[in-house]
Amino acid sequence: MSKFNKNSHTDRTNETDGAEFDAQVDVMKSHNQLDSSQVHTAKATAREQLNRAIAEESRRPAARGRRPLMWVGGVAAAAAAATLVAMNVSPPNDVEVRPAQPTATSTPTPQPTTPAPTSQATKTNPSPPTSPSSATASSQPSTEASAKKPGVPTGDLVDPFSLASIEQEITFRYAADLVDGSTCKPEYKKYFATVNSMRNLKRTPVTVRAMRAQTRFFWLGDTTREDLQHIHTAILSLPKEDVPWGSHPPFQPWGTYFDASPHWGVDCDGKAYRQLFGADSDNDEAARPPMPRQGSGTLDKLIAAVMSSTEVKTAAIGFNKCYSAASQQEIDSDWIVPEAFIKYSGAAPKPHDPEQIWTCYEASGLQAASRKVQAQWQAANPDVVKKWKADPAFYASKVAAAEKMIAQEEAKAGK
Amino acid sequence: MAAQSMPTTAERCRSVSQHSSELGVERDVGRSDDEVMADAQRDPAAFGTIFERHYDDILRYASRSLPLDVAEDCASETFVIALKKRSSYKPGRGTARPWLFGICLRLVSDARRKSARSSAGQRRLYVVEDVNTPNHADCVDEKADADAAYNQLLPCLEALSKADRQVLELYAWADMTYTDIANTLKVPVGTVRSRLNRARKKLHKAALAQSTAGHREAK
Repeated sequence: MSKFNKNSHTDRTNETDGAEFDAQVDVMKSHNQLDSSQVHTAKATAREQLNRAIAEESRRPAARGRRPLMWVGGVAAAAAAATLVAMNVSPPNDVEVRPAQPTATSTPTPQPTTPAPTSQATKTNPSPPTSPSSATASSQPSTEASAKKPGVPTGDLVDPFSLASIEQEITFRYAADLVDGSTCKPEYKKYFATVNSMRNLKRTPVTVRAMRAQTRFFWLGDTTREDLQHIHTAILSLPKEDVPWGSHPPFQPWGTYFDASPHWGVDCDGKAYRQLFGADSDNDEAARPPMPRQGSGTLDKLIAAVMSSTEVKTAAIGFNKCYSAASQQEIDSDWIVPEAFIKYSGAAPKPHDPEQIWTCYEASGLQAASRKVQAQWQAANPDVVKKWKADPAFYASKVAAAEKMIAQEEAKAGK
Repeated sequence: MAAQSMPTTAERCRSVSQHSSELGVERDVGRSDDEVMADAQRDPAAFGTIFERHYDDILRYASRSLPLDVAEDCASETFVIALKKRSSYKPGRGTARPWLFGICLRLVSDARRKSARSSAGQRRLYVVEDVNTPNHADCVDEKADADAAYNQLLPCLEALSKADRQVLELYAWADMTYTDIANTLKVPVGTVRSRLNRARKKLHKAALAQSTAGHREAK
């Protein structure tokens, strides 16, 4: 029995009407009642999202206080990035080698921060880094350098659509909505387009759960050096405390994926990987790449290294944030969306929009360490494959890399 | 490299309860929402208690009129927004429910506008997950009956104005008092009464019309 008859406006109606209305309300009440397991599952996911928001809120006052410095730092970093490119510096070899710490349950906590971001670039050293030693030099901001290099962002980084702002304020779902606006800076539209494709993926049955954990994700495939500059400067302009570090169980689906931290990674081809880190892949635990620690400047060096490497033709940077142990576990499994697809569905992903999804799936389509997955993916994405084939050099290089990788995988498996 | 497997539902639920105790939900038992919200102004983690108390209601409400995945997003987003806007919370009512529903309503409205699937969502079939449940057949029958009855009522509901329907839905689905509905919609209680009364009359008329049409068909 609903409350209708007990409320004071029943004096305006009669009992028959009231009973009929109560029956109608009861019909509404009995419609679409969720069972408790549905509620519990949804609640767990929502809780993870809330926990991330709580972590962000907890850190907000500190971040706000340092913001002006960081923006200045962002501009300085842009200049520094330009200097790096102008100098054509080599990858770092002063990286600290830390043992891998596959502790999915550890909750990343903000580390002490540096007072202001300075882009620390390494001095030239063409040999692959094999030991954690040698000197670094800080590149000082140079507006002259940025002026010399066309396309290098300077003061205009301070805009509401910079990656820094988006990273802090907008979830990927809403970032996607911004793409539709005309105010987005053209150079960022590409990134948003990828984000947008993620949003579309979110609605597919397989990843619907997985993607929920990923509130912030930037994935750049087929990245040019200029793209990396933008990202470099944007990441450097983030308050350091907004770039959490921690340990991360290696998740490395195709052999050359470099996972620098739980929330940041660079993917590049094997040769570049060796040049940068002196190891064939992070399969080699002993030679595992450094885990950048917040405030250590390693991130700066790492990005600088990727930028300056002559070997990196295609690089991807994933950037993510997550704070709770439970969420971290989820993000670990879906760090790279295509792999999550393949891993959990056992089938090839079906992009919502091949044009948009191009960068995101390029790697999994051509570099998957399994012929079956590769074939599945390509069969499901004829338009994308057609686009690849329109650029024979690109396609050939990718196929060659994929062939090599598959051969290595098969050799390992004793086939 | 060993890849991690997806957490199971049970694991997820465990993680929720772990977080609940981590965030002091048990500590807040017996305290009013106003008191918890006051704590949350200083310590965002305290907001976890509000989530634990009201998430189920919010999700159940949203899922009544949206497809489940969209409803889950709305419910989740409601609490994230509420957390960020916690400084706008006005204490004095003892419960945060109307405030949360106010946020949820806007999200649900947006989702309905954006999603052409909303009406499909309303008519969607139930997914019975555990087929081994005792009296499974009875459950299915009951749900099928409920669906049929609701589908009969749906045209009448859709004929209501948005304002009237919102009041009716809060009344039926969120089981709210007039005062809570008024606080949620930020309208006087008298307005709630008149909207509900108008909805009732329209539903009555529609029921009569349906009944008459049914008689005609029977003849």
